[in-house]
Amino acid sequence: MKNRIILALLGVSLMASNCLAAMSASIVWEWRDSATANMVNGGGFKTGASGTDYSLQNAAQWTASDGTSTASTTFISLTSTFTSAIVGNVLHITAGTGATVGWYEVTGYTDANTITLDRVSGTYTAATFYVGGALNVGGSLEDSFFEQLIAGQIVYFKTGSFTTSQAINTAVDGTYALLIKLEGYQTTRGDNPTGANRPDLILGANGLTLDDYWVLKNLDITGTSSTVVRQDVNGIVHNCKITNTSGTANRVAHAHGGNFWYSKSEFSSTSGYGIDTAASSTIMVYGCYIHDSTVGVRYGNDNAFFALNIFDTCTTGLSSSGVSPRAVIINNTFYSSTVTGTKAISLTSATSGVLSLQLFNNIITGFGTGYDGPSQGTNYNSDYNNWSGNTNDIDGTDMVKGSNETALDPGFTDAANADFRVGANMKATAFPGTFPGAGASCIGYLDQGAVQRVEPAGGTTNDVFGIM
Amino acid sequence: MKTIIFLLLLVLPCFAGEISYPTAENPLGEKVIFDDKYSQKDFTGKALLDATDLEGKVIYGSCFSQEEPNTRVFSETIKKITFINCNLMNVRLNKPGWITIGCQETKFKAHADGKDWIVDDNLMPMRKLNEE
Repeated sequence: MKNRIILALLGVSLMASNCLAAMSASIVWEWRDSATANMVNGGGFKTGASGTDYSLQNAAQWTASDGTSTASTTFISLTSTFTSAIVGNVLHITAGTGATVGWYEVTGYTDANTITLDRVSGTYTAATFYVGGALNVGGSLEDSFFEQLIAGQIVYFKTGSFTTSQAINTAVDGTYALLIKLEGYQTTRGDNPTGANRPDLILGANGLTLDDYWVLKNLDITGTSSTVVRQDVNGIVHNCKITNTSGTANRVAHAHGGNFWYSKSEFSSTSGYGIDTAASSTIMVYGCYIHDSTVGVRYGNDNAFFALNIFDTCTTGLSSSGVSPRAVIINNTFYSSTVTGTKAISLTSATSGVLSLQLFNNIITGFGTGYDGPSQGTNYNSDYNNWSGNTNDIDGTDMVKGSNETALDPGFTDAANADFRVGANMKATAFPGTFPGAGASCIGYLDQGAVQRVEPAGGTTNDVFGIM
Repeated sequence: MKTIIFLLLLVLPCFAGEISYPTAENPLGEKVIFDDKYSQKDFTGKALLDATDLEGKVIYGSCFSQEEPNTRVFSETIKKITFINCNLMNVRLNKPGWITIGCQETKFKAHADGKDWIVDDNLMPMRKLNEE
């Protein structure tokens, strides 16, 4: 009797653990624009699993409409001929009375008709299912797909064109240790394509809204919604191009909720903000091209770091909405071909005396006003910037320039065509040149502005880095 | 005859793509042949009123979304055209020979709050477009 009770308890315990099981964080997903349409395929494979990755093909390896299960993790299809290579692939149940539709990890192989899933999928006898095959847009399951992702998973997009069929808005979070990554590639995963070789996500009026700890990498995303892409806190955008082409005022290409890193990416919003965060947050923007927007970047109250960015043809290059913004703005190029009504940096939202600003090594050229902020008394340091072609470098007495500021022609190679390589006037004129306490020969040569001269010639382009 | 086949072989592969398209009747998917020039492209905000090569075309996976409801994008001289999985939001689609399969055809309009709202046929706002 005792044994029976123990066995019964064990059974209940096992059933409970089965019910609670979930897909692995090691599952890697694949999107291809040549795959079966409407998000029906399995589309994923668990890294390191014993089976064969069938997500790297257009069509499902197995598909049928006789999926059967009885409130357990056992899944049966009498018309299929499964092999042990199925283990680690994802099975997608798309329909079936009594079935819980969704994506399931195949965790075990029993025989040609029987496999084990990561969790119970319902009680049914005629479920339509797909195993393997990459995912492709269309239908009504795009949002569902994003909703079921798990911290640590990676979604790869092979170069191609993906016109989404619905708004995507997920509350799924990654974690500090397990980010959720959406990453584009051209031929081989990890090849970090640039320019037109990145996959295109064409959203139209649909937004892409992600939660915490998401990474966007190597993607070209366009849309017209009030915010094309919004990520909440602790996210990363790297080597992406995000564009809002709407003619409606105040639209945003990319927005975030706080603590965000942007690098090597391109942003524009025809009638609004390239990057926007009204929230108090830390924002770091490095090596980006921000252009053709009403406002290039608007940030909130907290710490902002801008280095080696190009702000090209924005009515206002950089602004803040906060009363106590703090910013380090180093080695950026602010360029405008129109002086009327344009500003490179506008921090007028700041309350006098609260703003903290470090402004070094920037080129600010062609604006109506180079810098507009609260009146004097503000905590700022400005030096080694080059101010030229502006109607007013500084609005009124908002700031006093440092003793090493210049007013030279930066000698851009072809600013009208976004070539901001600098001429000899900007050569090795930036701070610092020497490092106190370091060896006497430890002398740095830094040009003003974002684009550094290559001398004598050559070097590598270092388009993307692979740590993320 | 030989010449015709040869010409077809020359022309067809250059301008056609294909995709497996699952339906309720055939969940395993049917092969759809689509026009390469206009498929899987971004035509957001653009008008193709002057395009003369759209008659009879099957267009798959392109975005023609417009910002104003009932915007004319395609010439009404086109008698037959098929859109599959295209974003046709705010596009005027009023010809009987214009077939849509799996397309987005919602109308929306930007309102005073700066957001896009789905609107009814009288352009009255019903609900926000990008909120669940």
